[in-house]
Amino acid sequence: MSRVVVLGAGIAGHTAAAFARRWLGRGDTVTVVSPRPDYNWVPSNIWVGVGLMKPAKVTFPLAPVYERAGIEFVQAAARELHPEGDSDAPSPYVIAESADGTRSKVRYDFLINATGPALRFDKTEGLGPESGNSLSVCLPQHAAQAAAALDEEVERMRRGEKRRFLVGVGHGTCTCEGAAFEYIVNLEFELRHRGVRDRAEITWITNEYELGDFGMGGMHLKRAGYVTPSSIFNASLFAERRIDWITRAHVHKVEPGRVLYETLDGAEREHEFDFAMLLPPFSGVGLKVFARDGAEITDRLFLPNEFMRVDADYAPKPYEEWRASDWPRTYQSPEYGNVFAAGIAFAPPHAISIPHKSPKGTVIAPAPPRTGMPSAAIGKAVARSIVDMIGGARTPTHTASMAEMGAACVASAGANPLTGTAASMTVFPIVPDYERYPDYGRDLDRTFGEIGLAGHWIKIMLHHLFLHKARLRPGWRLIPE
Amino acid sequence: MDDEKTRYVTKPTRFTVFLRTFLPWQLWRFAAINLKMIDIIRRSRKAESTD
Repeated sequence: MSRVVVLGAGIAGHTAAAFARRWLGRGDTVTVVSPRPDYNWVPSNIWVGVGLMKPAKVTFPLAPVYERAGIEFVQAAARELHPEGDSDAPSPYVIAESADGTRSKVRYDFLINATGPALRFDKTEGLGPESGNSLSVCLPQHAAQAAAALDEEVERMRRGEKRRFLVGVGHGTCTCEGAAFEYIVNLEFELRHRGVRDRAEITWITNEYELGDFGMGGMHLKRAGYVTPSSIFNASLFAERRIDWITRAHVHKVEPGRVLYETLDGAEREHEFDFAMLLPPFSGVGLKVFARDGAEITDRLFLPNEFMRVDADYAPKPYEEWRASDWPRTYQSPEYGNVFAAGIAFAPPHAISIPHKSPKGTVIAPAPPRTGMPSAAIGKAVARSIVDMIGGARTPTHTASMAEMGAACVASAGANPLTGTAASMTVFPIVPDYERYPDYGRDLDRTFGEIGLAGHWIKIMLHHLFLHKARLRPGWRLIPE
Repeated sequence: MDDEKTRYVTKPTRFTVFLRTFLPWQLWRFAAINLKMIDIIRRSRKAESTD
């Protein structure tokens, strides 16, 4: 009998747990440790944030789903890893802390760290909805708060006031620019739909060097006889919708009604707003690791940004020497063969976008995204490897390198079944491979993007399909990641 | 927003904007985009193959 423990019930962890349970024998156990009682289909949070959906439409309780599937659920936050056990017993375990502060040992034979990100609003003074001066759509409750604030702004505009909206990222090292992009174009669409667009000034603020970078170094698309960078399409969409933009910005302070930011040229600037939705930077969740003798060995398993080291090449090297092969394939910890990371929890070897620093030394460049489709694919591959290792394989049997897989992404640009649109995009591979594709790093026949109503239909279809899959309802495993 | 900034930006023609919500065209694009995405999923599954 083997015990597989999954830390986190986001896209990567939930996928890994579901497939591990399906593939393992009944004598083996699968346990999910997660601090939140609900699953959240995060890509639809942007629709909660503009008031088109209630949080209940993008979440569901995990306990009954896991009970039906035969997965144990421990609602608690993982705090410590003891991969060598302790002086009492050599079997590895996790210390999990429940909401009332009770700490318990969860023993494992194989561990998947899929804890996702910690939302580091604290990295920017005044950032965030809880103690700061800006809104967020990272969590369903944040998104609901943003929707309520938007309603108030719309009421003011209906009374004739002009209002200023600022949307983007709240730090120079943020990732997930794609989610903020979806929010700003949905916001603009909603303001039009509610008849107040002419009273709104909307501005995008980003750490991207150029629009359309999205932390993936941008994309190149074949269109009308040219190979065109995604910045052209992003700028076109913004200009068409009268959205202004600020690029190469590191927001370092959010005051009530004003952001202060530094740009790559070293200049200090500010921008005033009435409504700001700014995403935070991420880090790992701060798991501590202890050896059998009680000595802390966190730095052997985690990088300083608290993401977990896996089978990647972490040797520091200049951008010119970055290779697709630096990226991990099996997500196995080099320290402990029975410990894996999946989704945002694994440490990328470096960024994908070209790194930039201001004259003051401030890093202003997006961190690499690793959410959605790649997260789920990694979770599934890790689960398969673990199941095979339980069956006797000596090493991981499955791989899911972001430098070898592609991704399909649909970014909503307005939700309406007849007048809505979305940008449908595919990239292959996600991490550019300049050895295989010397000109642009990607296969241009499989990297494309277009805007239209069909994209919105696909986005709606994916919302329902992925929630069906996550609820582990009949046929769930036939729906691709 | 700044007119000079947008002056040098590519903008869609009226026909392109029309096609974005023109139902017959979008039904075709729905099928075409799904096929492209299935192709990406298929190739990614190959990348996830057993070592």
